[in-house]
Amino acid sequence: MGRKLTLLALPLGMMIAACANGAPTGLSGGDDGNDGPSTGAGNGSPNGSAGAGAGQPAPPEHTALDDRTLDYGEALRTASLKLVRDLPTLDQIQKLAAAKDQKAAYSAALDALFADPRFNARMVKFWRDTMRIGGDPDMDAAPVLAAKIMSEGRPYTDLFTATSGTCPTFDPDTNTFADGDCQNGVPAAAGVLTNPGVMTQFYSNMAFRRVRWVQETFVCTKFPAEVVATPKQVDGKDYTSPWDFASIGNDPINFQDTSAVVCANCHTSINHIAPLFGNFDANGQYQSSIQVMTPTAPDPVTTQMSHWLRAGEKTSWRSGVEVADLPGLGKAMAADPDVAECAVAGMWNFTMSKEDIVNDLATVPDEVLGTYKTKFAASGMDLKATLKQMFLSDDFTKF
Amino acid sequence: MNTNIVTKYGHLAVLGVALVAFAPGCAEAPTGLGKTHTSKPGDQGSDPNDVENQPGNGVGSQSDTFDHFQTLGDGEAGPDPFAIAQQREEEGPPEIRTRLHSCQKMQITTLKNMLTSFGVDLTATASNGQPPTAGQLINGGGTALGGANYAARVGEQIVWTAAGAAKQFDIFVQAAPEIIANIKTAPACQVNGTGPDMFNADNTCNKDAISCLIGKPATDEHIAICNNLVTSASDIDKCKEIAVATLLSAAHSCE
Repeated sequence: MGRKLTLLALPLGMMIAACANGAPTGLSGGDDGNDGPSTGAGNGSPNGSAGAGAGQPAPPEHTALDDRTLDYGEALRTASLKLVRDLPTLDQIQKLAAAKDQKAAYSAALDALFADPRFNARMVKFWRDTMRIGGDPDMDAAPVLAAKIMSEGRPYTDLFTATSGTCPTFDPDTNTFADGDCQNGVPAAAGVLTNPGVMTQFYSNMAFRRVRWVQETFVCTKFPAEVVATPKQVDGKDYTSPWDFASIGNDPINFQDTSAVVCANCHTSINHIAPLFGNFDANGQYQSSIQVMTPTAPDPVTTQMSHWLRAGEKTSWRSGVEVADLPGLGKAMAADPDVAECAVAGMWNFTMSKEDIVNDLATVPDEVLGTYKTKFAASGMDLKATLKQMFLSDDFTKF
Repeated sequence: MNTNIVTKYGHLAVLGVALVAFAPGCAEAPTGLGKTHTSKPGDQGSDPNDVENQPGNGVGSQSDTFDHFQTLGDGEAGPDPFAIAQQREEEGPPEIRTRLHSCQKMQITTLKNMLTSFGVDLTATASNGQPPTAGQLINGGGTALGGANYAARVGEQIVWTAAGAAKQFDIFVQAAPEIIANIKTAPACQVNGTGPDMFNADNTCNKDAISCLIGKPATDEHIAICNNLVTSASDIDKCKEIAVATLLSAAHSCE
């Protein structure tokens, strides 16, 4: 029975995550404490997946976890490959093997790996793959900024709120960073949210690809990002967004269409964010007017604000979280627990060799992630320190 | 072949598949099975004038709604929910499987670094009529090895494809002669300025050399397997090369 339910639930989850209709998987965390609509629940655990139910404590049962054995030698090998992209030397291998206190020796070896300049290069690569961008200095600036923030132990939220030094460079020969500012004419920089390479890489109609990049990369879910507990009926179909159904445009593209799917389930959120990215042209330069196009047939037209939103609507990160500009968006994201959870979950999956959270549904349940979320917050959102805790964990050192 | 369901101690099974299926072709570069991405930023779906070629995988029909991308990457296959369901089912409950190591493919840079540290010259090219060198296989095999294609908004792959796993074994086979010749002088394999020979004078495998190759202390089982490989064929030099490649492949099928 359980297997059948799992098989049923996953395809459903996939379809939901692919922005059809309905609610995304529930985001755990549960520390926002409000009764408002659920915000984009992405990495969260399937609720109750591990529970015993009916108030009865779960009987202890033998699982694959019990079959693991502590192996610091294997842990050092794996950590070295992951953190500096090379094997430990024979000298390092033998010193660890000969150590009386294996745990202490492993911890010391881990300190050295995290302090190794090659760690910087590995993190640049990690962020290239995560952000789906890189290859030349312009396209590398965003992943390099993320790696630099990690390397320096700065708050992860600087990725969205930094107002200067947002286009650093990386020297692969010395594995060192150099400060740099983006030169794309933005009124005010906001971390990677105003990065010219990102704006170029994700240029599209109505800036929707830029919005989707933000959502999938930093919230770890696809749209819909906001789902109410009790859907409303619109044309006989479930409307699940907390926004007013008519808050988005219906001409020349009818985002209020319900004939196939309820577009507004996703587009109420998307269309309140997209205008913030609309003034970047295809080369990532910020202009004084909207630079993206609306794909009308036979000829596309330059997007107007009314194409996204009805008159009087304010740009927003989420329902009830108005943001006037990209620095405002950055601050809203920095305060969003879903963004923090996504960062920690991404680190866990890197540590444990898991796949992509969004495309492969490699979510991490709160039973596993909770401790690290707490440590992440306590450390001032120091992602490097949190990653180190993961490499020291029993789960990483047992095979 | 999706190896992510294989935990790290299952990597020998992966090796077995690779050996059985691909060993006959180990001296030749297998044809890349991966799709070549050629688009650039602003290509597919980015050009607002190219209404006809907006990406597929949309919701609804084209007459009443607009197509949507399934993923952010051009040409990137969208997930098959049934395949994911099957995979997750095999992996077990999330609170268990997420705490177990999965099998991530070796990153291409990692592979290069590792071989270089063993003394392999990745810039070497093969003579006419000879099979490609390890460096040529790596440098020309980015697609099969799951390399990134950032122009198409696709990062480096996390799990193996059959083509990638086979190619890595080919690379190890081609690198083996250089490793045997150079491991003694490779700084990564030296302790106090002295490195081990790959094989002892009696053609048995050297424990320290194996430890250096696999990145952790070699066990008696490692040595026994290596010795068995060396003595199980008629050409001892070829067998030594196969032994080194096999040890590397078994140890490094998973990062």
